[in-house]
Amino acid sequence: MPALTTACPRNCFSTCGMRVEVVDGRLRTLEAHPGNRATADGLCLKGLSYIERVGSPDRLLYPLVRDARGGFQRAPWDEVLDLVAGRLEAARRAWGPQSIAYITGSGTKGLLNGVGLAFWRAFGGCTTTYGDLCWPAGLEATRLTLGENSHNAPWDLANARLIVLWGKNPAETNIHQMKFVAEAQEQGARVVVIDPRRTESAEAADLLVQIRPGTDGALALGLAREIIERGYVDRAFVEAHVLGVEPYARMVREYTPERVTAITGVPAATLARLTEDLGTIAPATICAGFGMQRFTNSGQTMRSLIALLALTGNIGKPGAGWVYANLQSHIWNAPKDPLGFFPPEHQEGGVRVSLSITKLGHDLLAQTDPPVRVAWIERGNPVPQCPETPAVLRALRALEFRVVVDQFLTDTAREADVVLPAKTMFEQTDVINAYWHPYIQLKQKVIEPPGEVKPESEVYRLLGERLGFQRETIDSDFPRPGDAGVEAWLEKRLEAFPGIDLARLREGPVLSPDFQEVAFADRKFPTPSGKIELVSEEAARRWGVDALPRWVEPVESTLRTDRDARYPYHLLTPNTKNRIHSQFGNLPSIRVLAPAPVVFVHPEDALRHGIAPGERVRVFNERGELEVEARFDAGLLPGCICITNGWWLSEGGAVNLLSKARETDMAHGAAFHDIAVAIEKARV
Amino acid sequence: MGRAGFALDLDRCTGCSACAFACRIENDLAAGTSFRQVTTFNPERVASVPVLHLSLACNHCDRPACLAACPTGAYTRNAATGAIDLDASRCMGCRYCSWVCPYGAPQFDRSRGVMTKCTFCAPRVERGVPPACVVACPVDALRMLESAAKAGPVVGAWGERLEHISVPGFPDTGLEPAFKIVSRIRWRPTTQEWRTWRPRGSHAPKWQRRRGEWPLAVFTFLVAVLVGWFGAGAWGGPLPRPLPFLALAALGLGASALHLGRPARMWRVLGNMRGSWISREVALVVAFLVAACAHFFLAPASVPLIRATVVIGLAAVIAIDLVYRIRGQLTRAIPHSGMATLTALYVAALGSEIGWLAAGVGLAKFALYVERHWRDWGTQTVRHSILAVVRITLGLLVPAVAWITGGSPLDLLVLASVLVAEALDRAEFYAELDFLTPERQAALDLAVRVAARPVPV
Repeated sequence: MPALTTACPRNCFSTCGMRVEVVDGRLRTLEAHPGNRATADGLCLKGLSYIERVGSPDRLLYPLVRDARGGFQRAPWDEVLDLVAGRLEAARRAWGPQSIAYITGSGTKGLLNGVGLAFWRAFGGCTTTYGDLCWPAGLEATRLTLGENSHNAPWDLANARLIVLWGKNPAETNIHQMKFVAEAQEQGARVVVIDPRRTESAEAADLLVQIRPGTDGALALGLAREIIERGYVDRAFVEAHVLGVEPYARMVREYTPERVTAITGVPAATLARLTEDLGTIAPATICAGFGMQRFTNSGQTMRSLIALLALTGNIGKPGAGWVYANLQSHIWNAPKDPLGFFPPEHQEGGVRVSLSITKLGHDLLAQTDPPVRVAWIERGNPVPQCPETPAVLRALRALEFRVVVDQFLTDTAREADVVLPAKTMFEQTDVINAYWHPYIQLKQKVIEPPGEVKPESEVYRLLGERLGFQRETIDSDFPRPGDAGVEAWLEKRLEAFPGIDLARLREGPVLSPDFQEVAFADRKFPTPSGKIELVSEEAARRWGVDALPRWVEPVESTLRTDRDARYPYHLLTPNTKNRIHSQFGNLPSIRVLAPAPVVFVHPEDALRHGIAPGERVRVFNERGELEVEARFDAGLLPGCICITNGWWLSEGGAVNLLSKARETDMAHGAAFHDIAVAIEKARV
Repeated sequence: MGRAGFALDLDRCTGCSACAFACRIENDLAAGTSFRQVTTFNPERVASVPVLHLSLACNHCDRPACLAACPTGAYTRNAATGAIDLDASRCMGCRYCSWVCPYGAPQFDRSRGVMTKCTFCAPRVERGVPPACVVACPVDALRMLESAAKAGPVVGAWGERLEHISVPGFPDTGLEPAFKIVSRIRWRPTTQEWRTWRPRGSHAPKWQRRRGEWPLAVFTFLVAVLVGWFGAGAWGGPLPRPLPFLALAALGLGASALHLGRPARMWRVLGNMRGSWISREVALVVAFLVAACAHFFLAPASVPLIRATVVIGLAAVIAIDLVYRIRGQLTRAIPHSGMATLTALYVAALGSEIGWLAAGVGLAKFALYVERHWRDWGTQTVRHSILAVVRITLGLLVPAVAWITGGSPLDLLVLASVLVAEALDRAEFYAELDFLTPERQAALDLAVRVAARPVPV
């Protein structure tokens, strides 16, 4: 019977509580931890696949150093640490500490991740990134409108009578939410899915609204207009708690149903149906996905979606609200995201925050005084996952020295001079938060790291000693070697939170002290006005956008007149149940389900190009090209094609070969879903 | 202890495959394999037709085809849980159970040469823990029919919604599976109608594409020829000579052993005379060969022995044909122009130069052959058409012409021509074998639904 408590630290809504069983030092079984009410029923495919990941024959178990012939050679830790310390010291001496770029991804959560930046501060500084690839525009839109990113408990969704899965496909990306959707349905709830694809989640829905990518804002504004015109506005709620209703109402008047239909491709009858649903069914919850806020217009789009709930009084009540991100468990993050990843106004500790993670390749090359010469990359695989893969590769290859920490030889690790073998979640204890449910959880060490794997915190300590860091700094900032040292370090960080300690976390997930079953139940909105802000002066001031969330056509929209007409298809790059971004795809049981990258094409689009299922297709634009096998998907909106994200360059499916390094309209997100491409049958 | 069986809520199941993965972990199976398979209906998302996922393991049927058909008696019903158990130490790896089970539950384990299947997690249930797949389902879509364990989700909690509906992709061949399906939502078309595209044909692999059974084709064909040869002798033609007869018999038996995962356990084949046509087939073939040996070596002149040998031989070929009469089979095995019984009679009639019988059997074969190919007209490849012409010419026209022109069917050339054609037909019989699987059922049901779908305006 699985007995050891742990939790999955991936960048995923669910962040499951787990119980694992270890037999003879090996992971034997994994199950959902019943103490996490949001994920109590079972782990997903990926959670179960750790059984293959931990002992994978592809796992890196020793440090690797690039040899003269361009290959990798196994090297002893001492030698590797001397080499790395020497190169860091040389760079610091020649160009200063900011010649070293510290680049992290979202590969694993945990308090111990903070040791990285502590190291670079003690080193004298570094250059690092701002922004985030994943969710900034939506976070910022929510912060500007509601004051903070918080939402009702995941299980509260069962109380909703209308659920709108807007650009979200929880059946693949947040499967545990589907249980609460089902519970709501069993009590008579209506479910609407708004998506360009007929997703797996749409199969359970009452209505699928297939929308042209990047036009969700126009749909929301049109719905707001109709809701106001038909008198569906919750007057009492709006008067008490919403700022800017009059200017908002004036602004949306121009989004007539005819115009919205022309922009979005949503038929008038569907629009009317959706208006009735939103106007007459309460409580209503909109669960918004991350994909639609990766467009150039998406901060404004997300603001206009939240406005629908504000107008109908669907905020601060059970079964109602805006389910985007719930940072109730982010108790040790100050300030919380998105503020936490904005470039700071003043430089601290020699850390230069000057690389937009979205424009990583371009910005690495553009740094001066000093230019970046060395990169340290951990918890991420930026080569296939950052926009404009070719630019990222170019920039990495222009550096003098690259260190990559990873469990596998990823596309990014293949570019390194030194690859350090990383621990898995089962090999070092840490404490993690989540962004959907409100639990603080222990990610517990249950097995010893295999081979010569060393946790990053230990590597930093050893490097700090070699680089002559002060003893006090080393002992205060870095955990002492061994499990007891790590636990003492964690306990110290948890001191500020009474009731949360390792002993309690070992029993199971613990509710955050900031937990609210119903967010904004007190109608307190931490915005400048204290109300829900449909008009945001801060948005105008900070981001230079209209204070009202007007809709603008995305940059690469296929309907723009000033666009490049050679690329008539919109490329969708969603996540699937099989991966978390570029992780998991290399495991045998996942490979059985998804052996190779494919492009999904609507059969009518495919037939127009003479493409049959199974044939090779060239997908290209002015930035790059991919050649993958075609599959038919009659559930796609014609004019859209789809390649799921996360395939590696070395697997022939890196979608960011085609994307553009462009920021979202607010919050330094990546607008890398704004992609127009062309397709043709590949020449044999 | 309750009754072993699963229940699936189609509305909740998203096809995530965690159940199949949990099964692999629990049973320590090779990566990518599982006793549980998830089959998707309408994978190309044809408009107005729902997409469904059927997560299926063993249904521990009330009338289990595997248990009835297994020649070694390796299948039993667990008295405590009602689950169908497979004793791998009895299994000889003939894979017949995988023909008769339309749910794909028995699977061949290549490394061990035996079948494996879902045990309803017997070791867990004994400890009072539900099966791994049920526990693993992240959306609580998969449950047990009854509480086979002390705790765990049972279907009863679904209350009134419980209904066993006919679901696309779920084969129903009357085995009374202990499996309940619940659905209220997924039957409603949810998509906007975009275009009128309809799929042409099915991408579901046919059963034969996954495994061939050529050793069985050799075995059954040779037995039919030997029975025919003996029959020819009994009815006035030349009686077989021991050496070539026994050489062919050895070849046939050898071939049949060749397709077993565990040839050393071949002796277990007689373990289920009461239920399995394989046991009966092998018993009768062996009896036929013993009788033939008695004729060759003990009493060559005994007419009753010769007659008895023929009768046993005919019973053996009938048993061979009955092995292939399987519920849910997508092609017709009886009657078929390549049936062992017809081949034996045809060879016997030609060999004994009984004109009316040869003509009758020949015409019957011709009619069955043409009728079968007529049905598939249009989907046949050129290679198939050439084969058809060759088969009819060599097997039916050549002996007919020889007979009309006064030649003898016993002429070596004519004989060889007939045997080649009969072998071709028998090979076709095997190539056409197409047993029901959830995947095939899903493809068939999709074709029906697509055809019935109203054309969008």
